[in-house]
Amino acid sequence: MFEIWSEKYRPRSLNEIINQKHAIDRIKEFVKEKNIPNMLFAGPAGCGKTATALAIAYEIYEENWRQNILNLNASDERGIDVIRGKVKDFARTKSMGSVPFKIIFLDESDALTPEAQQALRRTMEAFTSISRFILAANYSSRLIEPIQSRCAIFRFMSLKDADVKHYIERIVKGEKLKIDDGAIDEIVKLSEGDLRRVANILQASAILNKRITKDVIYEVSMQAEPKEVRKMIEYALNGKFSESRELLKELLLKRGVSGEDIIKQISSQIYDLDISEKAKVELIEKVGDFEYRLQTGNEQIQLEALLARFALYKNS
Amino acid sequence: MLSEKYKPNSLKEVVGQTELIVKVSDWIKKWKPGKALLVYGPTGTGKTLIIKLIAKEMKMVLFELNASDERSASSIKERLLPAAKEGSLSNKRLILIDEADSFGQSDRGGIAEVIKAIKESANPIILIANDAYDYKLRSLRGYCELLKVRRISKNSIEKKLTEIALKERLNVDKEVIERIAENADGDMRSAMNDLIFSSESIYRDKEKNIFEVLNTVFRSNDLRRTLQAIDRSDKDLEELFWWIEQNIPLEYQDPALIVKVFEILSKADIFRSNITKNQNYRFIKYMKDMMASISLLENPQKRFIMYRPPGRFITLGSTKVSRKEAEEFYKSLGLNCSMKKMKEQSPYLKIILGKKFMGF
Repeated sequence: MFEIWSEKYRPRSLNEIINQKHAIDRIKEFVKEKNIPNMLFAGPAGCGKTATALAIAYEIYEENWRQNILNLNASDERGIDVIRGKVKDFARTKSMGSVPFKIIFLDESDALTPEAQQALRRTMEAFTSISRFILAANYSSRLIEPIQSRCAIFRFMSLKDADVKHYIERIVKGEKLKIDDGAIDEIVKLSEGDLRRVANILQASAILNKRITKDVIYEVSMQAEPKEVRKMIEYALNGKFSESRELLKELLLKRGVSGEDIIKQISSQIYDLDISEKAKVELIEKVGDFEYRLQTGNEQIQLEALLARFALYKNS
Repeated sequence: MLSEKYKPNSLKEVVGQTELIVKVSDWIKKWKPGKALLVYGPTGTGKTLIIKLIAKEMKMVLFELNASDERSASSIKERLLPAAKEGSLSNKRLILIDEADSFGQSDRGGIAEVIKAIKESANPIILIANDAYDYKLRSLRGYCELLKVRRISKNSIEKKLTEIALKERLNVDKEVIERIAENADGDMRSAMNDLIFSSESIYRDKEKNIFEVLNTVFRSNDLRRTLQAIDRSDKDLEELFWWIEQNIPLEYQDPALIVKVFEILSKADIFRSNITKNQNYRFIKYMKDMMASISLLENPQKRFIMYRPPGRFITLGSTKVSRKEAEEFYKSLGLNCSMKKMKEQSPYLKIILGKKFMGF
């Protein structure tokens, strides 16, 4: 199978990480000494947290890097069993090669249950001589205090437009793509600073058309936008709550789309709806409100409560 | 709860744990002072139940200490030690320390007292835990013989569920029972409780009750009466929550009212999540109060409505297989990101991979 560009153009060294100079400079010092502390990388999606962790492993272990890093996604495996099992098992074995410790990289560690975090805290302490932890999270505040206090915290900034452009140019050059300036600006806008998304939009566009124009990008983003969400909103607006709810359940339960993803799409579509400007603003505020509640609550209930609101703004 | 109703009353009725019964009975018979037995294994496999039944059938008096008791050093000293030292041949005693791996922060020093009790006890002591290798139990393990409890086999669970389905005259497919047994992963208790969600007919037996409760919640306009109805319901709060959710569009027509009810459920749900995620049981009260407050919305509905059971649980189970396949596919891509991120990116991956795309 051919390679997905988001992996192909992942930085292989710390020098290639874009625009996180404040963090990278300090990390380089540690890497030079071949001794790193436990670290916590906090920052938005697609700004280089995973890339930095992997680059650290390449630079410290060189050809042995694969054997010496455990790369776990905490949002997939977030229970206490994983911490007591996989993580602990890896943490207590000795490293391969000359470096005396191994790295355990826990991506999206803010998804770990509080119980699992407690277990993790103990594991971090128990094996300090032979293991280092790198945790990545969108929000450091969702990690329990004792874990935060055991880590050097690095804040990753969301990427600026110029940085995103720089990355686009790297791929364009590497793949010998033909692309219009307007298309580049469009990708920058769509990406919201997430380089993973940039790579995917580019690769999808390149498959649709040899020359990447603004229209091609538009087509990709149209195809990428699930029509069900639009339909679900239409039903809700027209007071057909039951139908709207069925679609929501279909998305959540059958297709496994995350509630967070659905609410993002709802918010991006509100401006296109045939309702008054005032209604749009009020709805946007509600969407924000429910996205907040979604952080703790049940996806289905919270989204239903949001959808119920739409019926109040039906255009008469 | 089905799991309570069909709890075995004698060892004969226990399914799929013969080995455990024999080993524990043997250990009690051959017991010599100075050593305790640590029985450990996954939840819902019958550890506590079996030991209690053995005590009953051996005509022993059971002294039990579980996580609901205070287990600080001083309270163990006061309660456990005397109980362990007493006892005579005519009045045999069995000491059971349940949930031994959940000695809490406030129970500091408790474990040390347990060890002391093991050393001095004139009666056999059995401890139960999920994980024998829990950090907290490290000092205790040396004084215990370890006995691992196996998960109950899928077959045994299936047999028991079929038996219950027949007795309760439930209308459940064989396939559904198989799936529940599979999902239960050796946990008989959860399997029995799942059975209730998968059968619609069981609600028919009791529907008078839940119908009355829903009617009161939706229409009574009386907070106290509604709270009472919720307390007396044979559905627990969680189930009732989903019953309400299911029937909102049937009960209410006015969009403004639907918004109000969902606003209440949304807030109740925040408490609900806190209860399940953080074991914050104090919030149960607020969740219940919020749910009861639905009764105060002025609901003009007078028509008789055939309320429907929540369908949520059934859908979730039935798609598990295809979900698993999709997750396998995502894993095969070898991307350094979580399933969640891959799903977010799946519309692009779909274009990139064309026919090879097998995700959501």
